Amino acid sequence: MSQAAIQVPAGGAPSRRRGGIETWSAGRLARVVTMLLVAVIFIVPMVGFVAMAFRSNNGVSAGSGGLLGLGDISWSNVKYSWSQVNGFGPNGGLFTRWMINSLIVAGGGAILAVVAALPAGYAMARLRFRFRRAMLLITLITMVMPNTVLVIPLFLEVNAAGAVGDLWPVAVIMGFFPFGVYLSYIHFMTTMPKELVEAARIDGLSEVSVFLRIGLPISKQAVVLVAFFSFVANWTNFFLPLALLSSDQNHQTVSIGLQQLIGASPLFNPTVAAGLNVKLYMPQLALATFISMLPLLAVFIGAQRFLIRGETVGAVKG
Amino acid sequence: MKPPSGRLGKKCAVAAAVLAALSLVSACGSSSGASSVKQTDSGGAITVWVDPPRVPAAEAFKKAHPEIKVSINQIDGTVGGKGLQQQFAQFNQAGKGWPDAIFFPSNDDIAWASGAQVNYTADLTKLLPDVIKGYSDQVLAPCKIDGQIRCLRNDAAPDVFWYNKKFFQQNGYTVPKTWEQYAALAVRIAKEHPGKFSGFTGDAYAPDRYLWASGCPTNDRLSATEVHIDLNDPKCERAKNLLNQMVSAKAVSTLGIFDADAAKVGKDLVMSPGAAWWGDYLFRQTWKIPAGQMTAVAPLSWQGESTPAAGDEGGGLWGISRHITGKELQNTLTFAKFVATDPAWQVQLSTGLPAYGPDQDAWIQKQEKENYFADNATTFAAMKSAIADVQPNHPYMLYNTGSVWTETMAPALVSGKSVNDAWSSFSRDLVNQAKSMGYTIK
Amino acid sequence: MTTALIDERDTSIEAPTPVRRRKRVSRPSETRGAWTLMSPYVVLLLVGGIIPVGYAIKTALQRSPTPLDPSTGFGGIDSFKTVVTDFRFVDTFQNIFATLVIWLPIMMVGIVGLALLIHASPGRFGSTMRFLYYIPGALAGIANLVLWVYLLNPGQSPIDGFWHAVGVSTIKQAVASPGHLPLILTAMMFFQGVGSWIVVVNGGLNGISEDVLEAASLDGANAWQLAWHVKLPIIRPWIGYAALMNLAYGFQLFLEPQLLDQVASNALTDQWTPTQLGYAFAFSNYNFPAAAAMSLILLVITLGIGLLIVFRSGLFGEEEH
Repeated sequence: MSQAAIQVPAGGAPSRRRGGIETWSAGRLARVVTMLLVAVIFIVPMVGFVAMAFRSNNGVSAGSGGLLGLGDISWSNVKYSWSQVNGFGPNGGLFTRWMINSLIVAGGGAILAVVAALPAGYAMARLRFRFRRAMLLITLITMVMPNTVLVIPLFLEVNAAGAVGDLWPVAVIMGFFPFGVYLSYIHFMTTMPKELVEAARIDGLSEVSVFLRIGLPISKQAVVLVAFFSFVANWTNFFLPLALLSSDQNHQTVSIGLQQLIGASPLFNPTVAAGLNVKLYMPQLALATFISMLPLLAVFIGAQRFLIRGETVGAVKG
Repeated sequence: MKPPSGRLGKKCAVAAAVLAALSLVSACGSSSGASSVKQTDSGGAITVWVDPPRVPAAEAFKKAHPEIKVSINQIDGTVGGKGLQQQFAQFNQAGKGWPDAIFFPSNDDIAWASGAQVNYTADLTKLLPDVIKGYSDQVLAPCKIDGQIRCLRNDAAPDVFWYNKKFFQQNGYTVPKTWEQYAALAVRIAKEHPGKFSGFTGDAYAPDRYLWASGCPTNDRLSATEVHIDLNDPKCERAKNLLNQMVSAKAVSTLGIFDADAAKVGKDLVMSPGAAWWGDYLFRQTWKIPAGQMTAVAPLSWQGESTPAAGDEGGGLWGISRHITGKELQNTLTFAKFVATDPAWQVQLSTGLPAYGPDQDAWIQKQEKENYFADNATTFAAMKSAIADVQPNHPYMLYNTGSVWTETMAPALVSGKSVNDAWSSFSRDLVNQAKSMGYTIK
Repeated sequence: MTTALIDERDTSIEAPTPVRRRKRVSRPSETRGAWTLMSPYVVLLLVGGIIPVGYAIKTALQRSPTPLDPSTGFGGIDSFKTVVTDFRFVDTFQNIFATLVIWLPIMMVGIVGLALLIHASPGRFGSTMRFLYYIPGALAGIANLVLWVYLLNPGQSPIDGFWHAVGVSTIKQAVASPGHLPLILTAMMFFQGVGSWIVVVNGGLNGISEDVLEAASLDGANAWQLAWHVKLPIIRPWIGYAALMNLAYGFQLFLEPQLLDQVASNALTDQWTPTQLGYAFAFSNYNFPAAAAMSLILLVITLGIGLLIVFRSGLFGEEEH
């Protein structure tokens, strides 16, 4: 990724860049120290948390392991914690079930989002039609609204269709991803020359064929971006699965599953946990959380190249 | 080339499609509250929902009846949790999905499960008359709603009076007989032995222990839509003053019995009213208080009254679905009978005093073998007799008095306020909750 | 919460071409093709956006049933009255405002300040810091909550010393003591969200032409003046966008208060935020008209914020005119 190429002198005394060595003015020192401090504040809890996933229950309660418990980490702890996490449920294995369900809805939603966003973004970018601007407006507005405000209306709709508890309505709803359409729109606006479209039209191709033959081949980056952001948003969505999937134990996603693990933890609910055959203390909860984040990490690494390349859009989704 | 009307047609077509979809969706929309009950028969397979401590009951049933196909669904057992209501709301709208039998983690659940809107539980008066005969009236009181028996009690959970006999003997204290004596002694012990305490105020059962035992009207159901709530009633006043006295002297812990941190201080509890199940579940298993220390006696009586007065803390309710018939219903009734009466669960595995009368002595015999209490004979006798001391006029309502307590009183006490200070917000919230549920306060 | 992309180019949309002279589109084949291509999106828009809102409106116009009186029927604004006169309604908005008032300023100062610091930091150091600040954002939603349960639980938390210093010994005390919750929520949301927004604002900063900055520094501006007088005004659209997006996010808070209640032994009000109240209407009181009414109220609010963002933030420029 490219950075601002200029050297901005910090602090009162201008420092000169000579052969790569900058002098340490008070301002520069302050800046660096502040940034490092903030970095430490951000990273230390993360390190401690990840380390927690690798620790043992006894180590945690004894407070052993030194700084952030790093001395206590071991693979055997992880194996034990995993046995507890995956042993949850009347016959165990519920956590795996949750992960699979999350993959289904998040992945299905991402695929739907791509299938819908790409042609729609192309159409809004390169075709002229009557409600083009209205559609763009609707997309922008729905894009900046938080996705929880629609959950109860969505529940009412799915309820009326009698499909509460099923996975497919959730995947379909997750396919509605206006931010993806916007990304696709920006992509085609910036990478699809109008002349190319015109030339293809003159050659007699229909609009759909133009898209399929010319637009699609150059849209790899848009595909990856839309899929990535959609998958991340779907995977971390909490309220929608809570409203639509809570009624079926086998259809819950990992985001609401983690809530059940917390509710069954002896840390917060000793009487309920006393009747359970698995013990879910902090290391087990941390491991469950960590594992639930792994698919996001995988997708992030996969999409890395396309994310930091320059031609992407500086817009965000809340 | 399409004529311009094609575009207009397109707009109308889109609008028509949206309208059609909307009306289709609303046509599928159900009417709430089934007046005629739709009953199904799966042919024999049953689904039961149990919270983690009751999973062994379902497993025991599976073992005892291998011919019946049982799916066990484990539900969140948090007392006061709302997840269950949500699921049943969805079932009613969908017209399917109900479990055949369920253990309600919170006794308040029976109010909505039997209420007009959800109306899930079956009337068991004619379905299980023999089982019902084995219950005493007080123990089955939460299930008796408008003349019908809408559930079965799992365990009896009357409050007895627990105290640490070893501590009392060591320090020459006498066991109090009245509530007022209990408060005075608590203050004295707090002064003479700092760190020792005589009760918990931070959990959802605290109002049951103190207010219910006093007869304070928080849950006085007058009819399906009317309730009598008056926290200025003299019976409430005396409970409030008692608590105020003890809290001001730091004689009670502001923790709740279910808090994880309660285990750290559990050993310092010297006396308290508490449910019969405190003995095994809390003292022995969770807090690991050494054997030979704790003992229970009959509940305390209020000054001027001749009989002991106690509250009740939980004791789980089993509900059966109204929406089943035929073989499925038969198997479910077998399940209900098993979990309510069969010694394989009630005596061998359950940690609570069986609500079903004939099982009680066998359970006591088994528990006595543990030889955990300082005076086993008195303790178990007290548990049995306390069932009759539970104060009447306290059915479970659509609002959860314990929740209101943990949301108003408990945090106020934790941050240092007095009972008197927090009482008005507790009272106000209770009334508001009741009203928001649709009750008329009389 | 937020996911961001880095833009090295201008984010404004291409200026309209001269073809716009004619208002009417006269290419039916293009229109047909456009709608064909748009059709999957339109279907999803209907299913995921328009129909739910329409159905919610229809539901909200029904009578508000209570668990004791489940009769329904047309009720007009009865359900809205139920919602607005509910004893928790005003409290939930007060709670939201109490949180926003603390969180938004801190968030914006953090975002802008750190973005400026990063922009002023050359080469590897700046990009490394930006990456490090982004890492907490990887834990989204409930994962963030578990992380904070870890931090908030004295006895296991790495900041145990801090908790002892302020006299907090249990997680219930940390969360449920009066006045604590807005502060805790501020910390949680700051931690989770600031990283992605820094990337966004930093992207905007990187778009500033070098000539402008050269000229200003040649005029004798030091780094502080550069930031305050040159950079800040240029990235105002991004700041406005970030502020409004976070405002909208704050309004729909649900997960954190809901789950913190669980770890604090139910010591928090069950309906602390408006979304929790809507959830309670739907699934505790079975009052779907009231739940729909509540959702519509929140929808109107966030829609208003959304319109502000689209039309007034200056980030989505020319295509709207």
